[in-house]
Amino acid sequence: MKKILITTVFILSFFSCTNLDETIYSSIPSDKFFTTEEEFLMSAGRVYSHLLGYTHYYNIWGTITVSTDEALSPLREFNQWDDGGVWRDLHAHTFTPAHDNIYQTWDFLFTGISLCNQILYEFSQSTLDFPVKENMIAEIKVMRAWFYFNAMDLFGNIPLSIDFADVSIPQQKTRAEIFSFVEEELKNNASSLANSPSENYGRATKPFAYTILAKMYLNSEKWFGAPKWQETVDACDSVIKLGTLQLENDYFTNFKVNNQSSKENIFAIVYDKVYANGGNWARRFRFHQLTLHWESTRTFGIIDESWNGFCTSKSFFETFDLTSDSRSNTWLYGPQLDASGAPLLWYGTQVNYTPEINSLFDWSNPARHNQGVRFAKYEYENGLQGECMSNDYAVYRYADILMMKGEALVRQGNAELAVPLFNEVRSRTGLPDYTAAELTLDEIYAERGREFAWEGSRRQDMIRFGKWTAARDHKPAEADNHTELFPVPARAMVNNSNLVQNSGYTN
Amino acid sequence: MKIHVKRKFAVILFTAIMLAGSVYAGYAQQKRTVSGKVTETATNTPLSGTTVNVKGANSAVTTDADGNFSITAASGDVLVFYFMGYVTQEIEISNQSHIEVFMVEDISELDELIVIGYGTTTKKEVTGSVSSITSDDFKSGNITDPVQLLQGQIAGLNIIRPDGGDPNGSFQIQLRGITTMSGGASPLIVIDGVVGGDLSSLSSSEIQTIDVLRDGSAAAIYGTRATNGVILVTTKKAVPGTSRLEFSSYIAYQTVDKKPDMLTADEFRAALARYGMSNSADHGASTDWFDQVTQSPLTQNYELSSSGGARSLSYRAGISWTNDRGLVKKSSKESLRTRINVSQLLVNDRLRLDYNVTYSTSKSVYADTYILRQAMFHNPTEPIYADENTPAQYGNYYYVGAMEYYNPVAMLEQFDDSGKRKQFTGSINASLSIIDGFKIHTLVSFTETGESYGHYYGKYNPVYIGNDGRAETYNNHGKSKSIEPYLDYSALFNDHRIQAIFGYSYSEQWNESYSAMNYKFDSDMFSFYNLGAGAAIKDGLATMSSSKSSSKLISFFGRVMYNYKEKYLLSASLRHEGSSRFGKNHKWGLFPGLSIGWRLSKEAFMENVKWVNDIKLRAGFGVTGNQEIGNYQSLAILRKGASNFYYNGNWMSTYEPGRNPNFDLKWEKKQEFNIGFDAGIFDNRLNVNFDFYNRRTTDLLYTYSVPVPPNLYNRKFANVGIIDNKGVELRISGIPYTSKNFRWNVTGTISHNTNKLVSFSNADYAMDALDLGYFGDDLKIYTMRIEEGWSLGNFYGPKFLGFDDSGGAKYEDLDGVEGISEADYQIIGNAYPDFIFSLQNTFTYKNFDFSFLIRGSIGNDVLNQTRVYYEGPAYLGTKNILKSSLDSDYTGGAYYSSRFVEDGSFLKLDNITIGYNVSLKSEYISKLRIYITGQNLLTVTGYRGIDPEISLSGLQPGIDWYDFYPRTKTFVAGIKITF
Repeated sequence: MKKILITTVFILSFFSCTNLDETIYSSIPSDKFFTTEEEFLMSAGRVYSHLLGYTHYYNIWGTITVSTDEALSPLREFNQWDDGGVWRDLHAHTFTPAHDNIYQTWDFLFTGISLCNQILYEFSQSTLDFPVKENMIAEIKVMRAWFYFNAMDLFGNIPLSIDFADVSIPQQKTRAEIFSFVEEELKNNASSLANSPSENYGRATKPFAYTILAKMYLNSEKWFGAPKWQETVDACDSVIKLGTLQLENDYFTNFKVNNQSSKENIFAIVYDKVYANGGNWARRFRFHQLTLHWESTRTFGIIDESWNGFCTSKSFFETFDLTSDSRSNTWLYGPQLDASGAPLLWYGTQVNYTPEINSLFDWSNPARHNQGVRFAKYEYENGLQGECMSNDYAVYRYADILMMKGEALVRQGNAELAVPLFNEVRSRTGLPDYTAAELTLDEIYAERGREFAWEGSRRQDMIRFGKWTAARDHKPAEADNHTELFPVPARAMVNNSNLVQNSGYTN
Repeated sequence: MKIHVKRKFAVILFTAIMLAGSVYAGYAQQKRTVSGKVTETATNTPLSGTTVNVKGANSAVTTDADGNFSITAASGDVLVFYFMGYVTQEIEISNQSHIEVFMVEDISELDELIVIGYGTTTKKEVTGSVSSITSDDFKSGNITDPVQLLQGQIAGLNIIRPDGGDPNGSFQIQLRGITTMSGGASPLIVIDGVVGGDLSSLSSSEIQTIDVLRDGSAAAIYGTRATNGVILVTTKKAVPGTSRLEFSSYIAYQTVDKKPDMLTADEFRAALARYGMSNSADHGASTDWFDQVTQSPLTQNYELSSSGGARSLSYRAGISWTNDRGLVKKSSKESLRTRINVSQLLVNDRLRLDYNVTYSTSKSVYADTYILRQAMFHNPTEPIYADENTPAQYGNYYYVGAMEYYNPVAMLEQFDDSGKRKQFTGSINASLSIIDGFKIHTLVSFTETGESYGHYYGKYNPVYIGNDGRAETYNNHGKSKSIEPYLDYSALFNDHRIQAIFGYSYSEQWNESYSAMNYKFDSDMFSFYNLGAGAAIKDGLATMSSSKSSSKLISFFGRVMYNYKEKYLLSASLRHEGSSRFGKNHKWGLFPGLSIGWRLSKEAFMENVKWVNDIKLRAGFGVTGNQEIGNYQSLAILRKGASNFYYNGNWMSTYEPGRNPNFDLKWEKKQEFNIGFDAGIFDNRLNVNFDFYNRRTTDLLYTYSVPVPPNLYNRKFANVGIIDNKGVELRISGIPYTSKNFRWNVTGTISHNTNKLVSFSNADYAMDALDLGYFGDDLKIYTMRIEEGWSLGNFYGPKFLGFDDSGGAKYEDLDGVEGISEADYQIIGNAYPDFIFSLQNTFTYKNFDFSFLIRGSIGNDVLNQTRVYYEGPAYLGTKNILKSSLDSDYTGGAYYSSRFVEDGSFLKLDNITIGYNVSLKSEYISKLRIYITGQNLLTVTGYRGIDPEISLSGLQPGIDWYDFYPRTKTFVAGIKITF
């Protein structure tokens, strides 16, 4: 008996006695993946699902939109939308390196870069070959160039890292060095990409790569004092010559719930309430919640709750001709009706969106709940539920190619050549055609504002046209132009001691 | 009663010791046989297993089941009667051949057994910092979780119930400060040797003793799980040779202690006028929303237990049923807890088998604290139910559109929120005496836990209007197995006593969970019991998920305890332990513990100091770890991405790395030094225990912000920081007065702890400051901060200086730049108390007893979130505000400052009980006790919120969040009958 027990104890005690390997059930060990074409594609596809964060109000879209005159989120009565001051600091250009949206923006861009590096690394480590491999590698490199282009635009001098195997903390490069890198990557890889966005919808294509190039050249004078107007024209022509894009007859076709058939959208972030809803709070396309009054959901039959926040400034709204310009339907203004056509009531009074806004931030005189006109360019889907719209977000449109080319021509002194380009875009709005004399830089700036409201173009435009630091509604003129670059986020500075802060900011 | 279970162990053990340790003394005398009977005085029952030997001789016998013995002795010999936990008796033999011996329990606390993990010792011999309470000390009342029994009983152990009287609320236990930034912070629970048990599955009446290993030297034997201390629970076992039935029951009634002080409807109307606001916010009704969602509940409890059997086979079985109803309407917890223990002696009493089986189930209906917040700020002039202007989609409920503003009655009525939980634990503990002094133990245990939760939001639930009914379920199935064989050696060589263990431990845990959500139901009738009936699944909008994980923990351990003449004491232990959770470079760790003791009172020079009965100095050092970090944290894994991507006309899955892998991940390591003393003076009527400790936790785990690239994500889980805690603990217990009919016992504890975050940066990971205590709604601000060199728990913000003449708030401007910015922020309070204390008084007069327990805390600051938001008119109109808003002319918005950081010192009358033991002449009923108890009847505090005793665990302690459960007073009446 005794012996049996002792033996049992000793057998038990040395049975698998020191094996501490973990058994994994619900995820995949990294070294067991990347064995088939499909697995590579599923890994590479993350670049595109990462983009779903772009339109979030705490991400890059919020940062580059609220910091312009086209959007603001004032402190509203009942203590709403104070949010620790992030919205007023963006709008009034009083942001500091601690600003959360600016950090989120930085993080979005550099996480995108890092995941591109990792995808490219996995491709380089595998001998597996499949037909679309080279094309996919080129796509990832172009997407990485786009992240770098945005980071350079917003932050100037930024860290450069292109090799996933290099685990050292990256060095900061000048904006010019990044410019050269991005330019080269785009030129080298564009040829491997599809000609048409409809061919590779929602992914990097030739027109997308050339559009990025056009935007770089267009801003080159502002950034480096080195005008590249002809290069801008050439890059736009590269898109035009492909013949794969055209303007939609109806401006709003580009923003419908089912806008994936748009012939005008060059690059869209593909949202779908079922397949591509971001998966979490920070990656949903939720313009409806951001801007609509609590009761306005009943106008559109939206089931989600809306938050009554973002609106546009009075002066920006007033650049629209409400009677003639069909693009003024970008905005919701005046007394509101519910879906049945009856007045939309809140506390017994009709909701009436007014352009006037009491203040950006004043507890004694906050913005009223109904102040500020609201955004309705993207079609609001009846029955929308799940906090993510299914409309695809248009990052770049063909209208922009025509207008960038037109602007570059005007800046070259060739206004006559620019007239048909602007009028091609303008013809669908109901407004009269431009003459060459009317195409002043101020008019081009205003027209771009009307055409691209809330499309992420305004910040670049304001800086390029010298309007960024000027006084506007709820913001005085700035003493210098340091805010034309955002500060390097404080958290990024702590993480990477190689980084030098942009001038005008203290950590 | 002492711990009967241990008797059998003790008999075998000490018989062996006596045999080994006795010195043969063979002087010639006329030998004869002396027989007799040993009886336990208190119960007048035979005491089997008592060791009887002739003093100075090497022979010994033990009493049989009827307490009888016979031994060979001569006249003039002294017979020694020994039984663990009883006063050892020495009786000189004269001419008699039959003697009756009555054993009396040893009244000295010093001989009480202390459970120390893989064995026991006595209070006088223990060298670590260990506290115990026995069932005699247990307070009565509505005890929903045995943890409650420890509240206010043990110095340095702070137990808080952050959800007040919520029947489904849990307790937070913190021992000697905070030692982790992100790992688990609760002590390790060991029930009858089974590690990692769940106390709530056990009825408090099934517990015999609870021992708490407080310092590192005592806890080190439990290695990577012991940093937060170890709570060892020993359940009641059968008393052989008796047949006993116990029945007990109580009912409890709860009322609201304090509710948020918001404006009534009439005050609301007056406030609208005062602030010049439109009376469109006046909806004409008068509703007390808090009253609408609360009730005055009645709780019932019934328990039954039987025990008995022969010496060689005995059992105890117990069953208890409680239906605990909560203050919030619908909330309740119904629990059924059963336990069976069987003990068997075999092979000439050398083999002992103990089977323990517990099975518990509970069914809960949860209280949603979000409903209470909505009720708190809801406009009191709104009616509850719809009028002619309410849009039809809101059902029968009055509706006003505003962001995150919902009718509380609709939320409550249109919501099913319930859960079921069951737990089975089975264990078998076999011990075999091989040769004298040597024993082999093997403990095999198996635990299985099942949980299922369901939510159903009805069609008119205002939070999910338009969902047409929304059902969610979550199921979880946990399983764990362990085997712990160990060898135990015990011997007494003259004055040298040695106890040693050596063992191996293997345990493995598995967890599987499943959840699903669907909406668009045709009928509310299904609740969450017909998940497939919702239409959202056809639209691709239902969700489903499942997962499985497992972990392993393996260790080798040993301990040697040595003492010389019970005067010089030493204990040394070592555990070599590996956890699957850690990085491949750091799977294994070494956890030593060493403690020494010196019983001064045993020294010759103390012999004349008659008023000192016992005094012992202790010192110890130990290393423990914390492995509560979740599975797979160190690995490079890929997970399925939440969203697909559009690829050539199809939606394709995405796969992404789960995290930045960290192959260096390891346990947090705590090193602790402890010194203290235990003293018994004035005939042991006054006992003092004192401890000083200094503990340092290194390699603190935290999620660090890291640069991207080269990392994939901006966060990485890494071992970096250092936290120090040091403090003192004092416990004094005494009997100030005792007489034939009256006895007064008093016990007081007081403890003090300070902590410091020494660092949270190193060469690889950097952090400037850690901002915590985030207030999301509308404000989006952090209210707390940690920096290197600071204490944890600091509130950080602008310092409020008062109001100016126009009602504007003034703040201290530190940077001289106009306006208050982050540069003007400073430390404006600290959440941790300077002292926590308790005082327990028990009076017995004849059959009456009366006791009360006071608990308190001094110097803890509390941030009152409700005041930050609702003390001021900013929300008035859509929402209600606090009455205190009207005390000032402040008209600004909600803004965080020291104005809302309040002194949370408090004194609570935790428990007050009056009991009566009825004297019965019945031959059927041996004991009958009736009692009434009041719990939480009185709180003395200057704090303006509901209750200053709030959560102190985690890195953001001391915030009184506005999602709250109301505090309750509880009145209990109970009865206990022993047959």
